[in-house]
Amino acid sequence: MTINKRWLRLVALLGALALVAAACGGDDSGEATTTTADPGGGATTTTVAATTTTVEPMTGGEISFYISEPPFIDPSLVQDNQGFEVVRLLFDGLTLYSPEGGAVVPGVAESWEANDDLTVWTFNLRDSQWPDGSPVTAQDFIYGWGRAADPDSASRVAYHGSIAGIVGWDEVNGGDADGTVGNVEIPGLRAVDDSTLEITLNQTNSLLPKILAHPVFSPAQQSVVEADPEAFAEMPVGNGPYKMSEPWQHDVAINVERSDTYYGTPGLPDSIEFRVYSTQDAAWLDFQAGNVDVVRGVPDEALEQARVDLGDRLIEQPTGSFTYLGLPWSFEPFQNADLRRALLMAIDTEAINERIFIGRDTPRGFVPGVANGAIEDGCPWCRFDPTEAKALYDSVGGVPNDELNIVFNSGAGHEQWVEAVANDWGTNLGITANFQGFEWAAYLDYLFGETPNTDPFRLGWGWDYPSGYNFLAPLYGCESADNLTGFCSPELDVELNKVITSLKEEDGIPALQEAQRIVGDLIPVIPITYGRSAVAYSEDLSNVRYTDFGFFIFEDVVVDRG
Amino acid sequence: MFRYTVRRTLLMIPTFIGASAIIFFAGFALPGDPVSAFGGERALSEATRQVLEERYRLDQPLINQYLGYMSDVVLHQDLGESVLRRRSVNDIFWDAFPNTFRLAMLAAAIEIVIGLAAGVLAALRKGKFIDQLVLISTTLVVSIPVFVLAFASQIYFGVELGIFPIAGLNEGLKSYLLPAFVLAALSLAYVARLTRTSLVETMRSDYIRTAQAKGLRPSRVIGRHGLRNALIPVVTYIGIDIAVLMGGAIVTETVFNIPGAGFALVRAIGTRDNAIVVGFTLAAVIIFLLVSLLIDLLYAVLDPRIRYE
Repeated sequence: MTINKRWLRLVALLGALALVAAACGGDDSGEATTTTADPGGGATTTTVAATTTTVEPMTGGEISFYISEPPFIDPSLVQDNQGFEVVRLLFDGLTLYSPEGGAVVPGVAESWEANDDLTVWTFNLRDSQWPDGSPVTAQDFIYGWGRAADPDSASRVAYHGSIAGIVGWDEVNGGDADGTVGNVEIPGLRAVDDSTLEITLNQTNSLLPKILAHPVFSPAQQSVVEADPEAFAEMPVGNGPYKMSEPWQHDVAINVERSDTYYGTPGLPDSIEFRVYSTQDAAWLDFQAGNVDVVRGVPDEALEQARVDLGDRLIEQPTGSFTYLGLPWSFEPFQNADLRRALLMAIDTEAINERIFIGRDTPRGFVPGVANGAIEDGCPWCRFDPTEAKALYDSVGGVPNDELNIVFNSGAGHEQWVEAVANDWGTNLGITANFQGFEWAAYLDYLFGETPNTDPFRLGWGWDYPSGYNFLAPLYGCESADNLTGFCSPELDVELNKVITSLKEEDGIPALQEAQRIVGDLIPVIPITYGRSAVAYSEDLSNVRYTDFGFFIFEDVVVDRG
Repeated sequence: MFRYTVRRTLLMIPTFIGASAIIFFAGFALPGDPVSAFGGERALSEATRQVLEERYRLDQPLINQYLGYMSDVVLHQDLGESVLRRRSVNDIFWDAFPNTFRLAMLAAAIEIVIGLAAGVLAALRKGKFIDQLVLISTTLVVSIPVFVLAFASQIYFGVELGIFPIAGLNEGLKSYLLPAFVLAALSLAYVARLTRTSLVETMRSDYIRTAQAKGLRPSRVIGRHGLRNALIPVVTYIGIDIAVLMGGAIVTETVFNIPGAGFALVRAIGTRDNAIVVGFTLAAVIIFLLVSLLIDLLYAVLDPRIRYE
């Protein structure tokens, strides 16, 4: 019996193919088990990878938390709330967002004081340490902030220094790049001594402590960063309650563990796995199978069922963000306030929020309720009144040909409500409203490109720091770079200026409320919906809190896998 | 054979250049640019925009950008850097590709083993029950869209039964099984159909009748004379399929949360992260060229009539 050699070779090749696949898979499992979270708590606990961690009822344990892959976790670059969630644990700034309400609490700064016109601030630092034992100094803050301001880092969040109004920040940020990150001098920052940081501002700013709670104002250890800048981007070394236990596994996980050099109250969980999912749906399904502890961002279509199934384990909370329809002044009819009012009143926003956004809050003004100083009754036009809308629309002569074209970015869940708006305008005002979706990058090009956009456009806004001021000044201030409609009201600018120059935040509240009444009357944009977080967590967790600022409080969570 | 191999390898160079140019220029022809996409809803300051445009050569004429990019690729094997993530595309690729590779290999193994077996069985029992069964089941599989199959198997085997992980690669080989089956399902059906048709056809040919007349054992007639010739179209199909799978399975990778090349590519296209798009596609082109070379060489092994001299 002869066996043909060539035929044998083919069989061997196929076999090898299967083996390669198997071997590669096998390799991986060895690595992976070390980072596997205990999926316990699911309905089916069949063959769970042996977890050697014994779990204390009160402290300890690991939390797995769903995130999507953030672009950066370096504090000078971190730009999305996925990354914030991680960086918040790795770094502590001078001030920190309070777990309750939209206030800030002392962080590394024990106390602070300002001169009479609030242009020179002095922050007194407490004794605290980096993981290597060296003290966190004022110089570390100057270096960390310099990294953000340096044009070489081309940071998208560098504008926070401009919001704060730190002297020289804009000049440094707008300067020439030299190829090295962190070698800049910001004139407005001075280390009086190791534990005293002096900040000089261009103008009075009573909101500075709030603005400084943003992660971009984290300190950084110059010696550590400069020893290996690339390693720092993959595994930032910080002064926060947790530290990274291994470099970032891109598109897989970011693992952190409790830091033993933290100055504050240590967090209860031993470690947190920020597990990266490519889609909300994948994360949600894995949550239902009991494989991930926390999902922030329950898909809208699953929300009603989740309310029934999870009860208290579903936290629904408004976030400091809203979605609006901008009416650009480059289209002349939009400069008429009555037309803008008519367009607003013709939309049944309540129905949109109830049905399309599954019970979100309907905006009754221009500042979400979670912000300090928000008022509910500042917008007489924020209601659905088709009859009055039509009368108003006719009285100003409408828009040419009764035609409008709404533009938005497609694939981000905006299709339905945009269509509803178009329908409402059609039914109630007799407008032929088309809507046109663009892919994100193309959409930005359409909005910000050479030819000014003249169509009603969808955008959103999230606050940079917890204050109602941040919802008004950037979007509607005459000179603001983020004012994309071209709306301008001198009397609004007067009120906004009163807010920022008031010597105490509370003193600015009346002006802030007056400003809300002005925008509530003039309707610079059409607010559609307030953002909401829907956070689901597993039965194994208790004492779970979610802040008004949109952060999960990991530090207090009790993990009990029993 | 050697000369043929050399010639084929040399032919890959113009293909590579052509493909890279098309991908590169097509990427830039789309509206929107990576720097704006990086800035997002808040427009970037002019200074920051300038820094980024300079760093990524976006301020230069397109042809210079292409030449600069290609010289980096050829001279330094450097696929560039992602504008939005500031990571080397080489690193991103080597993070993602091994996952895609394992998935593709496993899927290929599944489709070869099951697909071939089903095809051969159906052909040998032509018109019988097993043939009908293969026909019906393959029709069924082909008519279900991949994402339906993916979600359904995820919910049934992952959530309901809990025997397979749903997402990610934490459990080694086990994590790959479900997505590999989903990925293999469609091709498996084609392989079975193709094998069946091809084998039925071959079994009718003269030399098979001769072999049978000579009194060879049926296993030898089918194995040595029938299957070997019948496999040529199947090998072509499988080869191309493997090459395609290597480029990343977009739907399957996304649904099962596998950080592979397909998912990275889709994300990059949406954000105009052209370095990733071009880099990954170039890598896919190289893989495709290599696999098709391998397939052509395999023909000679299978069919003695094919000689490339």
